[in-house]
Amino acid sequence: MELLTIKNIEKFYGSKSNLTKAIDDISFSVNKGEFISIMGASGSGKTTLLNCISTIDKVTAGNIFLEDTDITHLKRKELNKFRRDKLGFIFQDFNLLDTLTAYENIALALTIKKTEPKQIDEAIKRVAEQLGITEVLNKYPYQMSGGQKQRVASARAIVTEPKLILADEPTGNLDSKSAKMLLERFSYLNKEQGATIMMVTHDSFTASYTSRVLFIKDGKIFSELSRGDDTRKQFFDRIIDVVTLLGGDVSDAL
Amino acid sequence: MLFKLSFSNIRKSLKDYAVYFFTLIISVAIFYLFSSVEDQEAFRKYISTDPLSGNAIKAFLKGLSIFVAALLGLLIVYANRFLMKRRHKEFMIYLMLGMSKRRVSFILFLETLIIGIGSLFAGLVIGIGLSQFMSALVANLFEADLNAFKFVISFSIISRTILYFSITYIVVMLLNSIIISRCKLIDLIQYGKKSEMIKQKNPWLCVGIFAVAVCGLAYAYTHAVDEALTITRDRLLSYCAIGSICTLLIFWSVSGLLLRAVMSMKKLYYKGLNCFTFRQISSKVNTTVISMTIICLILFATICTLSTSFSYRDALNKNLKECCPADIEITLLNSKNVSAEKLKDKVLIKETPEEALQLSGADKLFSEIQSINIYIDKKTETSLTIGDLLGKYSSGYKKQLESDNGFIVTQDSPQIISLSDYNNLMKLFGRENDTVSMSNDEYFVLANDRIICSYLDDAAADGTVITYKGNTLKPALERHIQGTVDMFANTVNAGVLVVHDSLLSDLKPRMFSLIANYSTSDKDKKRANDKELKHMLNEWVNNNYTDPYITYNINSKVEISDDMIGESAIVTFIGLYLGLVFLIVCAAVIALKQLSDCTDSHDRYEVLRNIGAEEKNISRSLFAQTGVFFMLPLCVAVIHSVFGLKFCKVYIDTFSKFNIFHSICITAAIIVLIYGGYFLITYISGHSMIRSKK
Repeated sequence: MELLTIKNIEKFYGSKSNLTKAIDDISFSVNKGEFISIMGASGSGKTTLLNCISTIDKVTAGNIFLEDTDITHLKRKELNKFRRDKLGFIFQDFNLLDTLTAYENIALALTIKKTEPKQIDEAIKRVAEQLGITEVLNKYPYQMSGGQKQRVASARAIVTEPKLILADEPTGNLDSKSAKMLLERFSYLNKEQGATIMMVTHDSFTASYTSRVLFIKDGKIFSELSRGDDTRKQFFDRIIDVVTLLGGDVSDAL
Repeated sequence: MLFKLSFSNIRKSLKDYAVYFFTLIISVAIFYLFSSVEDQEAFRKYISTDPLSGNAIKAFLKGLSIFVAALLGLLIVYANRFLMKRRHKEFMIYLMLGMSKRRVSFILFLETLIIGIGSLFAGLVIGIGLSQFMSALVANLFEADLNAFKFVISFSIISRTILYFSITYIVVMLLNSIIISRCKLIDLIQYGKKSEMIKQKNPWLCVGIFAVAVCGLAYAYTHAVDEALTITRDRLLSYCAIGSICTLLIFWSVSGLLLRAVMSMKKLYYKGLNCFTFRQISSKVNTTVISMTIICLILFATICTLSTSFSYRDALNKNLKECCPADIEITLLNSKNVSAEKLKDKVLIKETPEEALQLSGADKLFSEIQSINIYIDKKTETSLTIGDLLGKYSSGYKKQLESDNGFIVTQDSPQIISLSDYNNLMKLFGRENDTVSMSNDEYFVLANDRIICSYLDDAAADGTVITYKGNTLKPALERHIQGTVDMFANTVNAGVLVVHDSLLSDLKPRMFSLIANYSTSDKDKKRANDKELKHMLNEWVNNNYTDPYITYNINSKVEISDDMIGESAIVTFIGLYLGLVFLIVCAAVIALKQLSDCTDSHDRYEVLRNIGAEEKNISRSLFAQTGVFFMLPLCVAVIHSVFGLKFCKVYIDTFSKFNIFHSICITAAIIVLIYGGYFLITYISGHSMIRSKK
């Protein structure tokens, strides 16, 4: 079943005389329960694509459907509500509030949604267990490691049970061990909890944890890879091949 | 190149740091505004009437303006520190690019120079503009003629303003270069990345300290108010010290307690952005306990100075009406009471004031004239005293005066006037309702001394009987009549006995008194009339008598009121000045702090937006934070002020009962206007600071 459908979207910056096509006619769809990653070099348009899907940015042309809603036609107020109720975000730099404890950071996502205080505690305990952060719940961000912070941020993203989780370079600020741990958690959430995750990365290792990889170059879809029945290692090798094909400008992005 | 850099820096900063510039300009403007009062026509006129005290006041005002300049200078230095903090990133880039520290200092020097000149100019223009309103206010305070209103630009004050603020800016420049020379690149780079450490206080310790602080305050409050009249300076200072320390402890404990309390209320805490808002507030209060305390104490001083100075003015004005019900009083001691040896070769004036007026032709100045004869019965050992009028309440009165170190008058003989003189006098004063009719075995008392009045009322209500020349008199009324027959700057009439005319027929008056109103109601004409009256009477006396033993004594309402107005105007003026400066300093410090927090917290608001918080809720959270930051010190200050004003009221009450409500209203209006204005500006510019940059 298709959760997200993107039809011929375009995003242009600048004026007529100096036009930059950040996204140039991209179409694809994401099924429910899929774990998809988008790869590309810096400036390829992958973050713009994510911003358009997350409604932070507006497309110049084309349509984006989440379930049956065309989010390109939503009004400002509806956008806030949509973002709050349907989407979960994970950022490269964690974006945790340093004045709040991990518990409160996660709770905030629920209180913004006006969840009953009674249900909050239960929901937080559940996601904390799923992400292995139960023992850091009462700590402040400055008392945690980068990996713990990113898992708290992930808990905040999933605690509201969004339709789609959007992650922008979630491993970008983590050491390799923490990155691996986080990605295993993502896989767990995807497989066991049925979460749909869309992740932007330029790291082949990170991408190899997903079930499908979209390669973007100069605002267009360059290629697409499905994992199928491959092991993670085999899938990683195939990704590397495409990255090599993509050209020198990504080869440094391993 | 460096100049261009500085200039563009300022242009860029102008938007972000509006409050800094606002504070600079307002400091300059306020300073000019109040200093320029020395050159106002009305003030000069007042000073010239009394050169001795005038010069003392001038010197005092000069000292005051230096104090205020120092205070405003500190504010500017403080504001500058925030501005510097905001710009660490910029300095980092300069230093990374290889610019020497000296050149960075030079950029800052140029910037301060440009800002200094700009704000001085703008502040002076605003100050000169506002000083025109100020001259109207001063004219009003000194009750001077508004026709003297002139557009004044005082160059001496302008140069003084420039001098003081140049000194401040030089200090700012020096401090800036010290900061730059001391800073390390690594600190600049890491600035802002260091996560905030949050210390949790022990809640039981907080509760304990809070309780101690409240008890300490209660102790200081009750003792200060109870001992208001007898308090020594050392004791007052010790109460102030206790109050200040307890205020500090209250802020310290409240910052810990507040969050704890709210956190335990899960329903409130986990609702909307509440947990974020409370954490922000608590961390802010936590790190600003000392500045909160100082702000609170300054606000307290502001409220007290403002309302007391207004009350003082009200009290004096009210006193004037009561003490001087008519324009002129002329008295002459009866020559028949003067013994021969005292006279030697001097002569006595025979004419009563009324006769003298007519003979000298000065009576044409007046519309109403009333002569009264004042008697004092001092002939016999058993003559009447004020103590007799009080009857058995005399001892209570004595006791109260003894405890207040007052001047006891119970052994003095009261002045006595006849009923018909009294009634005529009341008609002249326009108090027809207070005319009395009574039989020849009755009496009543005219008085206006604060303390004795209530005892006189008690005695009259109790039917205290007095013996006068063998006649037993009983009270005609159950109270005293408020008033006096002598015009004096204060309410000191401890009792004038009024009896039926028939009882005084055989007595010689001790003093001839004349009370009169001018035919004009214009104050300046009255002043001119005073001069003319004195001139005519003197002329007449000099023409008819050589070297008289006693001559006419003239009390003029205008003269008394001029003295009083000068005093009240100076007090009000200084109160207003200090109050405003204090208020602006407090509000500006809070505003600067709040705004710098907004820039610090910009990323946090961005996070809130990213996780889907609505703009409306974010604004509400900011409003709550700004509100608490402004209101917390004000609330504590208001509680302090309730007791502080009680203390002040006891003082002012000793010379006049006054309605403090009126002055509290004016004070509240000023606070709402300035403090509230700052609050709004802070909220609005804070709101634009946290707005998404996308």
